[in-house]
Amino acid sequence: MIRIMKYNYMKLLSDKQYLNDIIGEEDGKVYKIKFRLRNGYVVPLIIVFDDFFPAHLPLVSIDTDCFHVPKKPHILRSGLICYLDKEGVIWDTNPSILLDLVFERVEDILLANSEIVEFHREFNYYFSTLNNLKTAFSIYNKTNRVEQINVYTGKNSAPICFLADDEQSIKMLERLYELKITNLPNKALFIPLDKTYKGNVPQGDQFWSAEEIQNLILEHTTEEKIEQLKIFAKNKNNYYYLLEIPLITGQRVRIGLWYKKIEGRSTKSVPIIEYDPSQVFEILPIFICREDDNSLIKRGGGLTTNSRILLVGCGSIGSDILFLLARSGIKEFTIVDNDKLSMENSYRHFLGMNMAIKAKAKVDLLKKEIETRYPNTNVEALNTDILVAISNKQVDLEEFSLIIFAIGDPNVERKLNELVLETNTPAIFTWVEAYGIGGHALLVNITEKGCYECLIKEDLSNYAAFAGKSDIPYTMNINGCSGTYTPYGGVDSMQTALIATRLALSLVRGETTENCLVSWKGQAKQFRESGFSTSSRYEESLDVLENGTTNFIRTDCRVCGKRGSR
Amino acid sequence: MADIQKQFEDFHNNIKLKRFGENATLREKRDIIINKIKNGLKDKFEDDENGVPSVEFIDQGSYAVDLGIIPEDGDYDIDEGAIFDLYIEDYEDPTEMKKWIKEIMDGHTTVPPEIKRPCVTITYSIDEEPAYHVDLPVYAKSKYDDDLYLAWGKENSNSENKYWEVADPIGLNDYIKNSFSGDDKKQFKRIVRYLKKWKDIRFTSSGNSQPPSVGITIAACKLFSPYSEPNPLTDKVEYVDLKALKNFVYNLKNSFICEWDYEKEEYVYSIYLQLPVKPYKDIFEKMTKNQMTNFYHELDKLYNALESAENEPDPHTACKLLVEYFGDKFPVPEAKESRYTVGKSNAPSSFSALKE
Repeated sequence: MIRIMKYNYMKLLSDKQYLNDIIGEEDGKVYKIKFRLRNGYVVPLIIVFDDFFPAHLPLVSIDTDCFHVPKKPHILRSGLICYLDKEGVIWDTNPSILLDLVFERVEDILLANSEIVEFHREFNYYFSTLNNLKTAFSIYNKTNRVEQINVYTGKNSAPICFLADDEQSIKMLERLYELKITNLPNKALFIPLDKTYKGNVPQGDQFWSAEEIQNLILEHTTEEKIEQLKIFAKNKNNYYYLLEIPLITGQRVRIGLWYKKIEGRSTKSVPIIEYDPSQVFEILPIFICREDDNSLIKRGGGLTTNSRILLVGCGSIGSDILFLLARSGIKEFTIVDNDKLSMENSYRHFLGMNMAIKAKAKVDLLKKEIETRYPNTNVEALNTDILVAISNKQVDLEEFSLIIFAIGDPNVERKLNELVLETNTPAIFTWVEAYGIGGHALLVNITEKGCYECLIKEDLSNYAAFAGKSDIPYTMNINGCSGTYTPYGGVDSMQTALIATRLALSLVRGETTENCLVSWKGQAKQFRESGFSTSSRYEESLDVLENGTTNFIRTDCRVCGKRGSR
Repeated sequence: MADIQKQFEDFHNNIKLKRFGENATLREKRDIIINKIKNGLKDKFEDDENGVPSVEFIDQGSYAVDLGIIPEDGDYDIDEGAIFDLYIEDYEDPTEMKKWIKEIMDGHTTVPPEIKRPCVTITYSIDEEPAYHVDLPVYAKSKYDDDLYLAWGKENSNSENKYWEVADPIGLNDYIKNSFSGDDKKQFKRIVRYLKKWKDIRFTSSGNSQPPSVGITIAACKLFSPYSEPNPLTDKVEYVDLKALKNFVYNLKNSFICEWDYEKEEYVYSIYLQLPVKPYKDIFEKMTKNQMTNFYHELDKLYNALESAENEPDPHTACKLLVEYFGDKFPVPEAKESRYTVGKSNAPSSFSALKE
């Protein structure tokens, strides 16, 4: 039970010099007020508090009993004033100061100019307030041509998804909706307008009329496109359109239209440009959620490059890396692993227990999972050993933008390092240490000097390691040889995957321009209690460890030491 | 755009001569002078064989057309034309009638009456400070037409500076009064007063460095267009003085002719504006090119300030900009910071999923 703070709102409001004629019950939450703007205008408002003020801000709206609703951005037709996009603001909890904040923002909105550009900036928002609005996806990517495209429809012919008429789009639709599509009978016309639209933004009950839409198309589109449109004349009961409209702000907004014939003779036509009063259509606006790549990935903060990544090792670190890279917008992967997902490791693997129980190859399970989650991602799965795959030319290291090794096997990694250095492809080696004392990601083959071999000291210990030299292996064994494992948790592998992925992304973005070693460092208490000691590198500051270092480079390295400066 | 129409209107109330305030006192003084002159003429010409000259008075200047503003220096002025029912052909010396008035009014005020080139000036003072003055231009008629003629010259001017010049004070009053009507006329009056105030603030009062008030008034009759637009807050069509003034200043600026001055190596500006009534002469004729150029540059600065105020969303900032041009009678609404103690609110980077 939350204890509810009681405020004397009447007093709080009365204390404000800029508020007058306050009407409301002494211990109520709804008040009518007259708000005097600094430029002298007086606007009657209604302010409504709830039980959780000041954690919740009060609702403020125009008192529509005695004032009209100004046509200004952020004032809804109901009169509600959207004065604060509360995401991203922390406010003072002093109720009096908070009221000042509220009224300062409300005043900003009431004083703001109501030029059309402000409405265009929020086009999608206003459009989304339309009555009878339908919502559909678009996985149709940008062209500048008038084009006939597919529209996937549901019950009562309602549009669900606009997509191009090609195999890849249909495949993506199938993955998105997890269905098999054999036939897409409904077609839509994609019409990109050429001239900037400068008119009103439809909202609430004010949608464009058939004539207005016709004028919108005719006045903002080249004659050539209009002629093209006419070619697509059909005799149908449902016509669908996907429009792209350039706005004053420079943005191009997409909206959909659904013309549903109510009555009229049957004739071939393009009703959107051939307004004919003898044919009656119900015109329904469609709000378009964009599923096409660019808009989504950008929103996810990711990349839109054409990088192709080879990921070797799909254990706990590798599976997390794959997931993180896919989330970041990388779409082309080849993954290599010859292991099956086992129940024992399911807690620290990305796929989890329900997948482990299938006892299938990790690569196949991951391919399915990632392609289902991100239907426009392509994963090539190779259930094999990497060295075998390279030697029988199943994998050509030169084909990739980046290689990531997450296999945790130093002996194989030394060999792979040699192979990588013969190519032009950069590679990241990543591994986690026992008991959560840390993890590492090493980027090589960007610059000449510095490679995995540099890490291997003469006594065969690893330069990067946080664990001191020990003769006892750090592995544990619950159940004989087959149960050997390195004790670390899912958090540790994920943390390692994070630094490796960050390194990969900064490389793809062109931010990292030299070979480097990045590490994260965890607590060593449990590690020491188990009888181990930490290395001197463990004592280095987090700054040095996390920001990436080139200190590991050995000029006398047997692999990279002989290379000249590129 | 900052909506500061209320501030403009308050400014107007602060500067305009109130019809029933200052004007009433002035009117009283005017009547005293009129009666004094009429009686004085009676006394002076009682025994004259031609009888007592008949004289009529007409209100002139800003006072007559209700375009007056409260003077910066507190020296109110009234222009009152004295029209003698006499013929200029009988009075070769146009200063003669001016001398009659001076003679009659002499001793009436502490400051003696003074004959100036276009008028006789009677100065009333309070505690030795001039409180207001009445300028009396003197007109007479002609045997050959229906026009009025203005007496130019001082007592001691040489003969080429003493002459009768055709004039139409009644026509000028009518021209100004009839240029606009209704609410448009109210905006016209406000705009003229704003510019008169601007002129007082921005130009030194000595000599002809100030553009003449009548020049601004006539220019406004010709170049001003009333401006109103729908106010999205109130949903009513309302006058917008800021834009109307800006448009007028723009038009006035564009009436200047620009020439390159080879000697000074800079552009000089000149303006020519014809009086709409007889004698149809150039209203700005007494200004030098330097003064006109200065006038142009001041208009340019004013235009830029008005434009900045228009683009400024905050009413406090917008009005503060204008104070420099219109003086401290222009009201400035309180600043955001002084009204709202917003204290600390912060947009941290730690919130996830910020909207696109």
